[in-house]
Amino acid sequence: MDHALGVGLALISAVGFGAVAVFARLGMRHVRPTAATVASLIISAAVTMSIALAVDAGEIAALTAAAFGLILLNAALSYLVGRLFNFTGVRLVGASRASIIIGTAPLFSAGLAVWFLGERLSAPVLAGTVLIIIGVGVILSGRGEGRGAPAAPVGAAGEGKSPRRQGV
Amino acid sequence: MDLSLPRLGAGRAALGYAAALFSATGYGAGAVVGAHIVANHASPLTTSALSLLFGAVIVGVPFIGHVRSDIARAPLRAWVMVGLAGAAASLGVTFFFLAISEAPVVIAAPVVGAYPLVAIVLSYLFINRMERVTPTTVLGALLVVGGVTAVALG
Repeated sequence: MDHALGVGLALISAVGFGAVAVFARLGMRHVRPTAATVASLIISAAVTMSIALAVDAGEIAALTAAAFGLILLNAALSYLVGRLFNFTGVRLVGASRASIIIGTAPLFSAGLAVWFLGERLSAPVLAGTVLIIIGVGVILSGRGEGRGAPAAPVGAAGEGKSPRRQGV
Repeated sequence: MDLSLPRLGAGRAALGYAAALFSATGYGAGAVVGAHIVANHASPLTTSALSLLFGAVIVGVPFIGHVRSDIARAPLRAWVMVGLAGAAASLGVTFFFLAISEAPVVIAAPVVGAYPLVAIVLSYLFINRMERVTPTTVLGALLVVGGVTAVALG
């Protein structure tokens, strides 16, 4: 029970991350993934920046140019690629399936760490990789995931349009 | 009114899964860069807040026209849901950093990594008219979460 508080906080975090796709799925019945990504990022930034400024406003002013450059790179990877295509995936295959595929992100982190940082592959990482690949294969093998409704509600933005017209 | 997904055509499904995989590579690469920043330059909370701010600008500039046109035609409740998605993401990030300040990453990370299971439960509870949660989905999620846990521990 030494880490009960940490586990509890981690569970709240998991609920937050899990809820993202469900809320986004509901919103994207009418809003394109691109617009939903922008709006959600504005809300996320406002909330998190408020907390960061309340905790330590002086830290931002003290950051170096190199730090800002790396944070910009992080933003491009995590949000221009990560969240935008997250929402696009949710829009096209649903919240639950997209979340599972996106949940494989630590595998890519581990791969990059091995490739670029020279970290060694351990047995648990190899075993986990095999499990993830099998799991993704199981998801991809599913078919007929929708209930066969012929069309979305009238006026729903993007439904039934090509991905290009959905703003992808 | 039936709100379910249209039957997944092969092309639509392939695009959706490809987008999700591409998203995972972005998140995965971002995590590596973020770990470097946190280790050498800034606190996790500041890194996260500034990344989100920059992300809003980077994504907002090319797609601000989509926001404008969708504001005109989408109902308010849709934007509330999108806003809640953003707030939920902030909740996830903030509590992750709080969690790793109270427990080792090897304990906290696998718990957070189980979020696809949370997404499945929430999908079943709240949007089961829009998408169906099948045994195949649950099995795939359990395998992926088990694998992610092993990777996090490794």
